[in-house]
Amino acid sequence: MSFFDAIVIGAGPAGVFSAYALRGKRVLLLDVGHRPPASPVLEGNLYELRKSREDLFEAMIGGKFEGLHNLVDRNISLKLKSPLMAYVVRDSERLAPVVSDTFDAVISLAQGGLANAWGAGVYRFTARDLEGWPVSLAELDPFYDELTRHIGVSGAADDLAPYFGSATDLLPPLRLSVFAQQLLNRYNQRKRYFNRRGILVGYPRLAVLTVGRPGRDAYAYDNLEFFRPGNPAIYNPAFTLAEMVDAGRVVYRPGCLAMRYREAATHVEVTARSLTDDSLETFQGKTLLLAAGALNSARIVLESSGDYESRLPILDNPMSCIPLFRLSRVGAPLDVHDSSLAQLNVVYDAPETSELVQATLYASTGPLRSDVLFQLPMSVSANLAFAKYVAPAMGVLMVFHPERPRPGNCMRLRADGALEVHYDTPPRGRVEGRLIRAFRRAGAFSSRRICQYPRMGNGLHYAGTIPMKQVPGRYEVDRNGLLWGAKRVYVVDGACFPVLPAKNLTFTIMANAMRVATRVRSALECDC
Amino acid sequence: MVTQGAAELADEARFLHHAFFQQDLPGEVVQQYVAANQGCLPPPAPRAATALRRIVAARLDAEAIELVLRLHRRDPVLTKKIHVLFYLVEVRAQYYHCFVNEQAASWQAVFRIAAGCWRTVYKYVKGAILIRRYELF
Repeated sequence: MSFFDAIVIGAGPAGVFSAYALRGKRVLLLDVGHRPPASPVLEGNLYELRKSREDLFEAMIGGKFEGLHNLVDRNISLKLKSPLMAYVVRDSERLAPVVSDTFDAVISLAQGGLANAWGAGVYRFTARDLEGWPVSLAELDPFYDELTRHIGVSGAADDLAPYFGSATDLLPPLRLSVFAQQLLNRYNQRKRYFNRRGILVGYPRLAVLTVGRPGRDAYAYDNLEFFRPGNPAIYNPAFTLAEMVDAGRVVYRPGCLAMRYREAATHVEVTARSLTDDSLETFQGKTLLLAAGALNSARIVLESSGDYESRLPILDNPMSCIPLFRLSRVGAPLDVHDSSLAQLNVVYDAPETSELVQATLYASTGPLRSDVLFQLPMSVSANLAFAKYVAPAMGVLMVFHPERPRPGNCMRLRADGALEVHYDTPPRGRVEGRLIRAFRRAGAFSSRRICQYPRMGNGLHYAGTIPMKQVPGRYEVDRNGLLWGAKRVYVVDGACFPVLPAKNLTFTIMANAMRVATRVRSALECDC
Repeated sequence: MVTQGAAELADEARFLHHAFFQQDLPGEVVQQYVAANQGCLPPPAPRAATALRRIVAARLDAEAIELVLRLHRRDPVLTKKIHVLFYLVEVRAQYYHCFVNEQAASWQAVFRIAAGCWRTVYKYVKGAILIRRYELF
């Protein structure tokens, strides 16, 4: 049996970047590691393809009718239901089951994790975001900087810079859609009005290349984000993993589902199930870094303790969707060379509340029109006319609220291996109403009656199951990610976030994983 | 639950398609519709199956009936079948311009949407009458 300096479980953002920071050490990365299908291949522009190819059934609906998922099963993200993207959540219900009446869990066992289908938003946490953390911004900043250079982040130093952190080394922002550009122009003209109400608007920070690099082309405005996996312009941790594997810096073992670990005096032993023949394999290393995602890392910790009673906290950003319409754009020609990535960011920093709310504006050009048919209380023909002519006039503002641990929100491991989650849905609507009123001044209209409030879990920002504390207790980690009561087990993913600001957490997951792994590497060098 | 045969589903696909697009449905889509219904959608309840057969046999206004059922949150089987059909045709080049507008057409858009609102009122009344008259669902 091989012996490793470090075993990392999971090849999502946390796993990949902890392995990245462990350079020079003998690292084993265990992962289920689903990959995108080799065919059919979608190259070109979504709308050009739809016009030129007689039938895109295989690529957009799929032989197993994956594209019809939301008609027959619970709603999942439109990105996750497309047939070429279905690998992102493949087997998760079977291999990592979660049961809940109140929480829609989405788990990825793919190489790169949920970042295969992410919005690519990369936001530094500020000192204000890190309130309640035993870690300071100064400790994370060097890793944010390194990540910015490594993955390529587009954005701008605009009104949102105080909320998004340093703008050094940013690539130019993506070209905006006409809808978003008009909105931004109106914001700039009426900036005082918005700012008085605590509303700031600017470019998003995206892990999307606007300038090509060797091996990665710049973003081509092809609108294929909902259908095409592995776009080289949109960063995916699987890219860095492939580089490390090619360079021999990590031993990557896909097809392994890590079940539990056992800590001995000199090493940690990890038991994993092979997905090819169902056999159990054990791996030994000096240290273990859990990076399987907030839910699965907690599952492994509880399973390793044989604990089917304890309830752990859980966090996800409550979210809402506000459709916004610019009436002057109704009937405008659709710009087929657009982007379905984030167009603008909105920060709501109202004087009367201490909590920041962040929203992201998306264009509506990415999904199929059939995905939004039947949404309005009108006949099918009227819905179709609406979808056809109003798409260029419509944007969707996805609003994320911050979240803190609350007593009712918890999860436990059942003896049958399923995680049982309970999450009380917090009230939403107040901030949404204020944003709707303010955006009328920018010529964008909506109504609280057409806002959607997805169930908890749909934020996909899972965190806080094994939180980081200055003085940790059972099922908590210290400021270096070390699990309470353990000497060689670290938690490096979102599980260790003690609170959740209203931001995409992936960039901070990567930075914190690098921070913890750098300390682990130093400790390993001291051991030597 | 009532299992619908391939021939019945094929007939249903052609009927629904004609109701919305007034043209013949490509054979490939007929096969996909049958496969989607048999492999994906749950079979309809007996009462819904009877109603569906009656709608197809009498060539009733499916759009009107669907609207009333959807607004009253009754059995969604007809909505789902129409939705499946729309997904299947939307990914075909032949239907591209039914779903996407690439021309500057502000007045046409306003007219079409306004007409759609009036059509909704008309279809709602018609659907309610049809459901009562034919004792559907």
